[in-house]
Amino acid sequence: MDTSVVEKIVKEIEQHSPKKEGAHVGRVTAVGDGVVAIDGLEKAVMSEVVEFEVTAGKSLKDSMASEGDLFGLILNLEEDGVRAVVLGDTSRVKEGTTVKSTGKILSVPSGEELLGRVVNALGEPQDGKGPFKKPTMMPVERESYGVIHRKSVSVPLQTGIKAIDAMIPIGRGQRELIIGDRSTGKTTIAIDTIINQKYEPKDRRPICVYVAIGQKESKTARIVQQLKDNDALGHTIIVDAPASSPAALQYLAPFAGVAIGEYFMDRGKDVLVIYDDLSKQAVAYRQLSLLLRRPPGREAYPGDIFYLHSRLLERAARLSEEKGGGSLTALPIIETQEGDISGYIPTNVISITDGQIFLESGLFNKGVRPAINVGDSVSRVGSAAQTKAMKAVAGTLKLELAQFRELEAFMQFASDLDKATADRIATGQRMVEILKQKNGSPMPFEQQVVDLYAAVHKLYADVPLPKVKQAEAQWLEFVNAGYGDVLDEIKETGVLSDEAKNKLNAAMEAFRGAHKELFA
Amino acid sequence: MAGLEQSYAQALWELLQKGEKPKEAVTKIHSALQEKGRGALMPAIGRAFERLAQREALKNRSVLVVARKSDEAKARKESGAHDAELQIDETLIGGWKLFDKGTMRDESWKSALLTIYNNALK
Repeated sequence: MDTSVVEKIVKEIEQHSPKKEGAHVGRVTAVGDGVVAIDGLEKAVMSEVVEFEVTAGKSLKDSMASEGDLFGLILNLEEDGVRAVVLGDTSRVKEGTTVKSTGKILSVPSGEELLGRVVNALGEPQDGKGPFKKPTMMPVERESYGVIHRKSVSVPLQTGIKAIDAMIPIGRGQRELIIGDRSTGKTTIAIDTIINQKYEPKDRRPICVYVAIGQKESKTARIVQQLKDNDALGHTIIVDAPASSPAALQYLAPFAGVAIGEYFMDRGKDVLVIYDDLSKQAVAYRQLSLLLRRPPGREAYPGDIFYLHSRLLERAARLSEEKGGGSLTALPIIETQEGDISGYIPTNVISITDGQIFLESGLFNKGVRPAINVGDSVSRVGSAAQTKAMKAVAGTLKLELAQFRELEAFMQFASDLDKATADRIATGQRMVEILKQKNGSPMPFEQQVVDLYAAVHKLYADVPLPKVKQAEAQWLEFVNAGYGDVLDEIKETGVLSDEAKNKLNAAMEAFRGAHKELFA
Repeated sequence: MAGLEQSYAQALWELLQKGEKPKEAVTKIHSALQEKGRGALMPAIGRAFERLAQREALKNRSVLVVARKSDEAKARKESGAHDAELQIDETLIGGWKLFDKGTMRDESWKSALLTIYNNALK
């Protein structure tokens, strides 16, 4: 016999004291599509967790064989009863089932032991690695920090993606939307950002929470494997509410994710939470609201759909030193239809966030990956967090690329163009090549600086376009081999000093001499 | 806002609480509705009234559930529910369960054992 289980039971019996207070109860009068109507429960409060007495009338053996407790969440308080969503298998609830009030607001477990784990929207482990030993329970719904407890964004969150870190920088505590059609690389950006955090020093490394909402289980499994393969699962927690889970859990998953993240933020740590994606959460919430008979509004979404996302994203913050100085950065993802960013949910979330990274299927199909539309993408607060080194090299990048995009249409008349225009197009084309990055290969910040420094200082101007990526790889190899001190200095200080610039200029000259085959 | 049928059901309930005889109260409401051309509402009012009556019954009902008849005296003493209606549910194994005015106290052995079992498994 397993003695540890016996010990546990003995301890449990010793500590067990029969409850003296009676719990308020009600009765299920209607059930369907994950929503139940309950009579009674007069003292019920909004967002309270209720417990269904699913074992009533069942023998002890049958009760032990069943799937455990079943809970619900009250979402409507009505004149003659309450309506709640079932947080589990609705088929276990029957008309007449007794419902017990718990007096508790929904909370999820959080803590260091969740790192590297996959949990569902209720914080229950889903990866077969066993239960959590001593988790701290965090409320799923909590008021966000007020102005007094916040400070402005000033520390960068490196994504490892050159186009983002250079032109659309993200700061810790910021809310940056990733928006685009299906299959344009939204999740890839998010996952690369998580992977890139492994390059951060351990004491400053953000804890990452990836919330998968309405995704295929196969996709989430692939992401978990990718994070594991890239040594990034150790600082990541995955909250999974797959497409097969009830709408209630898909609606709750982002709140569970932020609650888990807040545990770390409250303890002075930096956290990155990715919501993949909020369009599916909005759809799940619409389904629930319609079943709860709330009045439908535009596109049948309920009237509080804006509040749903604003109260979630407002929980992203950079806290003051008095509050520990932690931060919670939010990267919500929104899927558009046919590139239409003027839809209801996209415009809502665009207006809530501090900027957006807009991905275009046209660019993606042309092979420009990440397919970021630089013109439509913006970061409203991130530039304050950008390092001086990156600012020094990326200052004119966005403008140059925007000018290139305007001139791009004239490329077919290349033979008739004046030299200045042709040069600008050639530079733009090379810049686009340099900003391309493979899936799953984020680049450490200091390498990005060196890479972009070379691009901005026309190292690749004489390299034929098809050889630019090869030249870039060789340049980085060259710098890593012979100029490690420059990279270390940039990494440590975040500044590109004049001395470092001189060294890089000399390195470029040496590179030109050493790799003559690359230059036309 | 509650529907019209619920308002009428509530009105009927209040009439009965004031001591009106059920048959007379229903007849009065029916004729009042007929005069207003709302006679078709009557079945819906009936259903709403049934729900209301059930809810009120649940609110005011006192039921003591025990595993076997022989446990009754001990259960009544422990729970203090001397006038409660008695029900037998063998699945409780032992102990008792009391439903009283919209609340429930569960002192059954089954519930205690299940709590221990679920916590040991966690």
